[in-house]
Amino acid sequence: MKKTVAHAFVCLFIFLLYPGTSPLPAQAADKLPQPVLISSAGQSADVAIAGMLCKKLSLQAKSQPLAKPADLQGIGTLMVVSGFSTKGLGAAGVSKEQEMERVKALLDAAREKKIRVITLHIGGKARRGGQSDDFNRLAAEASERLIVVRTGDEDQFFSSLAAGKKIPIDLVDKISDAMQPLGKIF
Amino acid sequence: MPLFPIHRIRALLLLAAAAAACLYAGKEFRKMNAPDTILPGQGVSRIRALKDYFPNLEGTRSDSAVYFLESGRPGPTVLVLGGTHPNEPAGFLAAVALVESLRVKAGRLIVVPQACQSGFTCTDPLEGYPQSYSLRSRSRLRTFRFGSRAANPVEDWPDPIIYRHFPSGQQLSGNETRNLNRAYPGKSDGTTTEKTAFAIMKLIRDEKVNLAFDLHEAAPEIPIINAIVTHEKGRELAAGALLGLELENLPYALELSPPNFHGLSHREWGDGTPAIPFLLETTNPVQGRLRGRTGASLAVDGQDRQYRLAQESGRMRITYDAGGEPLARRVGRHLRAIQAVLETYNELHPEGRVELEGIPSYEEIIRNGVGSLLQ
Amino acid sequence: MANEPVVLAVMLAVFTAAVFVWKLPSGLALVLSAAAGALTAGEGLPVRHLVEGSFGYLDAVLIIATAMVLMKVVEAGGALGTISYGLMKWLYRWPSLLMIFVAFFVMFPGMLTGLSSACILTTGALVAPALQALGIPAASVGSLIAFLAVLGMVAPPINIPVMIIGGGVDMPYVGFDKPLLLATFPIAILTALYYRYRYVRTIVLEQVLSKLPPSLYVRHGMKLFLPLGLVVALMLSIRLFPQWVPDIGIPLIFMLGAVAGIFTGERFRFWPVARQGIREALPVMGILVGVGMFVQIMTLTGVRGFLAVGALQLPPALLCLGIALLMPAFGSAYAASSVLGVPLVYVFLGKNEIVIASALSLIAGIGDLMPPPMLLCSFAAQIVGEKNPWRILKECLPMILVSLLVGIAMILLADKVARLY
Repeated sequence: MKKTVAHAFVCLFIFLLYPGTSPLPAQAADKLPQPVLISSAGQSADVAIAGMLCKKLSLQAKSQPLAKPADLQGIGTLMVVSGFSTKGLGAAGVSKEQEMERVKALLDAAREKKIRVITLHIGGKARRGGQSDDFNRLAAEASERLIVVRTGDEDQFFSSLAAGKKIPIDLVDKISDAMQPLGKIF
Repeated sequence: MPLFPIHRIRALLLLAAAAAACLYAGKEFRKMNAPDTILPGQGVSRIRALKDYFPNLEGTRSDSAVYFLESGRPGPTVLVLGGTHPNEPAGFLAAVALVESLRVKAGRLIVVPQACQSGFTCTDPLEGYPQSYSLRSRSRLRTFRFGSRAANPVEDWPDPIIYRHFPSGQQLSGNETRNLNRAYPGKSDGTTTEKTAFAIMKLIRDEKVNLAFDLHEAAPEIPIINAIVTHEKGRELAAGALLGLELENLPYALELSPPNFHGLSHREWGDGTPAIPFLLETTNPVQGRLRGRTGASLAVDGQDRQYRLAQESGRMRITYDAGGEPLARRVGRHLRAIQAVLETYNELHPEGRVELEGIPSYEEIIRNGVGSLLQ
Repeated sequence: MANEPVVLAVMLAVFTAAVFVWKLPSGLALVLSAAAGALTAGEGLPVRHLVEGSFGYLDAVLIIATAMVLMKVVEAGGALGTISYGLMKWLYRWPSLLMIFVAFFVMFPGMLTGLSSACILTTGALVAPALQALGIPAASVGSLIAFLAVLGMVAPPINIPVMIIGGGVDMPYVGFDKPLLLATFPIAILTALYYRYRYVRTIVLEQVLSKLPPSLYVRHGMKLFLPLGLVVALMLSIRLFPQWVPDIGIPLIFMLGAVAGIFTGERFRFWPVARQGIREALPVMGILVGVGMFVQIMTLTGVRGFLAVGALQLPPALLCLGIALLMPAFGSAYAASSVLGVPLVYVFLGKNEIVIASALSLIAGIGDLMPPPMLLCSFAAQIVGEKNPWRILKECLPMILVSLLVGIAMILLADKVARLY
């Protein structure tokens, strides 16, 4: 009997730990570390909105749309805001290829330094398809959690990617609703 | 050979018909020189004109009224520009609504409802635009001119084949020569449109404007719709406003002004003056390329079958509500977006707030129509 | 109040009847057709719209009028014949090279001004007698210069259709030189060689020269070319030194050239020559006035939107075919660029938009050859003395087909094309 109870506890423990299947809110014990570096993948202006969300949650965060590996020094979590914008690239003075290289280098450096990575996609349909999805895929696959505004997932691009890679995903109806999962994980 | 052979009689008759048509049309065209009636409300403390900032505009088609709504209490100075493109009526009417209905409790507001006054005196050939549209206001039937996207060609005709922006040298199609929102920072000895842009830049500097709004509309097929376009300086304010607007179910997109695209208000006001610029866009079927039958009712009701079909086809992103895009919704959006940016500003600058009074809520504007904002 | 397809059908029926049954000039047929469209749509007789539409192409009308005066002056002064004569004498040994040179020579004014009509009315008119003297039939010479005029308009550095598309999608006119070069120069060379191998065998110089007016170079010297030199110098300096040379507009440049022509060659009476030029340009100017009314009424009644949305609704497999058929059918490069070019850039969003816009401008450019206005074909017909502009259009068909294929290929392979340069 004792053995059965012990087995049950072990199973429950594994179940609770396993990402994405937990019925509990994001593990209270496993909060993502701060400070947060908010960077872009595709240079859409959504970085500014993510910065505002963090500000409203009083998170210790700074926005650097063009962050480089060196900027990860002392950072707890890298928050990638994905979505392509030609205007944004023009504003930043970089080409799509240069931006792709930068994001790859940043994500690689984060993995090496064991910095936690999450992806936010808040631009909806306008930041999907075409050139956006290269950035969306790159960022999402390197992340341990996705927060996606539902209009950007009408074709289940993010949810099927998350299911395939077993990455927990929070689908929210509005950008401001992203504050809820963000508040829980930080 | 007879004195009046048949071909000569026919030619004379045709000439007479053409002359009669031109005479009639000329009268119609000249009607557009009559100014629109704007009835300043209680909130207006004084009225100046663009010529007060750049005397060269005196007596020209491009001079335009500048309305001051001053609270007498300290706070930021906010500029609202309507009618940069006179074929985008929501931007113009939102500015008129501010002049006729708004009271400012802290800070001050400067409103130029017809930034490109010259463009209100003509329409664009080949576009089939109406010359005017009418709305029932709180007290009467109000009629406003529906103008051209660009200034009247009579001013600087003919357009060059290539428009070269001053001072960047950027090249655009020649018809952009008369587009006020490609002319900033303007030029004191340039074309009429460059002079207008110059006067507006001077106004922003002389009046120490802190926040400046340029109200626009765009064809439903343009991706930047229901959007706030801002300079790097305005990123945080626009992001905050956007979150606030979203909570009220008014989704907006945030776009940054590209630094390599010159002549636009959100670029040049931001670069050349201390003001933080915001350009607001709503959707306007009457200026769209895919629109069906064109007329005053399309400008006011925004109902268009071709846009509904284009949207259903799913071939491109089209911002169009199946029930139409009436002026009330577009003007309501502009007014709410201005307020949302100012609310965010107030949150971030509690020491110097701007407080407005007298603008109904978005829902009320939708319910009561855009005329309810006008005297 | 009829719906859009009915209005369109009435407009086309009235136009066809007016041209083929009542034998009216095309310009007048377009006016009648526009009026009939408005009446059918329940708009009454919208005089204001008809007059407003007639001003839609006012600038083009002025350019054509002044260009015709300039060309008549240059012809009367003897420069026109002398250039044809010289060209033949200089390059007759190498027919392929001659034809390729002629091709780029004809395209040059269009490349500089962005106007297709400028090619036909200036350089096209200069080489037409020489080409006819080579034994190329009149309609074929017309088709060659009409088609090269399209390529001249599309070729860099100045391409107005791309600028119109760019204006609609907030894309600055930067980075278009190479894709436009790629879209036009190979076709231009191909066209030159096609005509060379189809019509030109070995050239017997004496035979050809005997068909041309005599060279007056010995009598007047370089002075003879002063009017044309002045026009080219003014156009170039406006482009190259915009800070010093004011843009006085193409019509005024042509008029200055015409006035200079009074004093630089054979003596002639200016007024009759100028009147003759305007008389010859009248039918084409009439067409432009009529097209303006036609387009305005199409827009007013919703027919324009009906056509544009119809094109966009085509299934993906048919879309490219639809673009190739419908864009030229607008009958005007500018109208097609504005109405269909801008939305189509959005349809292909995600592909290299510079290549897409360049390709669309090539396809839209074909519109300047097409009915109802058949602008370039009508011009070319006048220049070569061919009565029927439809024959010129027919002769253009092989090259039109090639251009459409190139345009569609560029759209489909936009990203690969972008990597080529």
